[in-house]
Amino acid sequence: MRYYEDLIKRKFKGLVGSKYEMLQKEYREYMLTEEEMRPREIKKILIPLDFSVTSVPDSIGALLSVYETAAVTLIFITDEQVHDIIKASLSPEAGEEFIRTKEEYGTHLLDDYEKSLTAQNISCKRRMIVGNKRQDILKIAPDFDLIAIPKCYASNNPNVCTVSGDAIILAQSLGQPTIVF
Amino acid sequence: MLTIIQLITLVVFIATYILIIDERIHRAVAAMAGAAVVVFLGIVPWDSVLTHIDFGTIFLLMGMMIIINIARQSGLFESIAIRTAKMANGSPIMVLILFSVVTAVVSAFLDNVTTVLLLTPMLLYITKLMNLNPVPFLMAEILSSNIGGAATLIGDPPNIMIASSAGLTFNEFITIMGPIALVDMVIIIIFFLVIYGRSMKVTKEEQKVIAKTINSLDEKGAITDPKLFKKSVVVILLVVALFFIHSSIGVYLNVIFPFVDPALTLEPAEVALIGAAILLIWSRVQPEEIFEKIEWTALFFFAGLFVIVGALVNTGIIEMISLYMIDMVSTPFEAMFIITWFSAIASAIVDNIPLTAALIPLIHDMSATMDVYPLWWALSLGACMGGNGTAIAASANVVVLGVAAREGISISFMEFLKVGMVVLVITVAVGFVMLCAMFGML
Repeated sequence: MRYYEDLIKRKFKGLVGSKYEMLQKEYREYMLTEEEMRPREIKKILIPLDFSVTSVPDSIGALLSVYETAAVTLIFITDEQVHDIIKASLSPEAGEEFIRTKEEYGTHLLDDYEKSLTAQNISCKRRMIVGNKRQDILKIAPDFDLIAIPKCYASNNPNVCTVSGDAIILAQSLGQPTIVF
Repeated sequence: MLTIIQLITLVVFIATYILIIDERIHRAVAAMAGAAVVVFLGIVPWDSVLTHIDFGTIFLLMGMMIIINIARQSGLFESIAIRTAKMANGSPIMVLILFSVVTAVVSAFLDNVTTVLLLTPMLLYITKLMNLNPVPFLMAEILSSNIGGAATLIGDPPNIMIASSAGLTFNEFITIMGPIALVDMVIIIIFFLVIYGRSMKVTKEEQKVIAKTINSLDEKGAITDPKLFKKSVVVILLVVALFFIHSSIGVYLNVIFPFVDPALTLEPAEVALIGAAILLIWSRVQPEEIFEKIEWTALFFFAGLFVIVGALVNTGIIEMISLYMIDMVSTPFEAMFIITWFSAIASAIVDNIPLTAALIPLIHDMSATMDVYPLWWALSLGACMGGNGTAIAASANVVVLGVAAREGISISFMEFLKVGMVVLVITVAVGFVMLCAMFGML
């Protein structure tokens, strides 16, 4: 049996040569493994938020309601680096005030998102952290099945932003399915 | 009693064929090495090397390779595969039937290896969607490719070699081998439905889901270059039309161009090269791209084989065998019977191309004492249908099994043999009876 398998491999290589590699590229959408054929189950969705996100789009609830049994985790991140700069250059109290202001904003934003999503019968959890808006998301994303990123996430200028640089980089870097909305 | 030269020639011949079967050395290299030995020893004098190489076969293959390489770039094969899948409407039985028929028809006019290489991934994808065992579908595809290839002059390399050597025309193949291939295809499809039909049942709901997924595939999107696609289809149809009239093209041309000799004929190789030239000019593809994709290894393989077989002719070994055969047979029926079954069984072991190369000069030699016209068809039948016997009997078999193996699907030698040998016996037996009927031997 081993000889036969090796024989078929040799003959195949002799007949087809490097054409097979070309074929795999041309036909990649048909040459899927069993795992790739199975549609990915979406149970946990992550939505990162920050100070640049100003509103809850109407579409997000309808979009995520497609995943009927999924639970959404909303996470509001306050930039730790900015906090450290303020704390170092002004005072620890100024740093605390910075965080308090951001988290107050974050609480309202999380409230708005939670209200919109629960109206579509989507269960929600919420968190607030002080950290790095890109690295922390990259770190926790593997625990989730889908990452939904607001287009202005971590934008320096949310009023004129189309899609922020961080949103693009996260969409490119994450291994999970990602949508930018 | 064999002379030293004859012994050496036989040893080189057998050694080369063993190397070809084993393929530890590439088949083209093995054939060239064998040819080099017989030329080096003067068994085939240098100035007669070119007379032994059948350039009709080589240029026909080359021309068709150029046409197919250009047509491939347009997404033609992928589009055919998607359309075929959609026509099945989610029914596994219809997938089996349609893919078998399409494989047979395409293999009849285009190269078997390319046909199955480009249809197999789609077939595997559909069997995964249907959640069914892909093995029956793959086996049906292999057998259909070999049977379909038997139907025409250009469908299978053995037919190309036989036609070129014996001067047979495209229309002769259509009228003699075409009906045999058609009947054998029907038999094989019924065979597969009887054996595997039950395991291919899906519920109506499952069928709907399968059909929905397949219908989301876009056969027009698969066409990467619509202009090239149209040009390829036009040229392929033109080439097929020219094949139909190649032996009497002078008659048709004389009507439009009175200066053309009505007796003018075109060799099949000329048709293929003309078609290739037209498509190269019309498509404006970079010729280097196309020429480097010509399977030069296959062409050198053929050339090497012809020289080695030429050595068998030059040393009189072929003549000895043909005299022995003529002594053995007393009627054309017996000769046909022996050629048919010997070539079928031997093709199953050796690979039909080297076998055909060896038997062609044998039949030529026999023509001195008997009418060998039916024997060409016996050889075509045996060599083409014999390709179904084992996993290594024909190139299409190896390609499908190789693609499947790379996708994690294994068909063992015995698994193939059980089905392949039954199909070989049925198709050859039916074909033999039909040949006998055609030649008034029943």
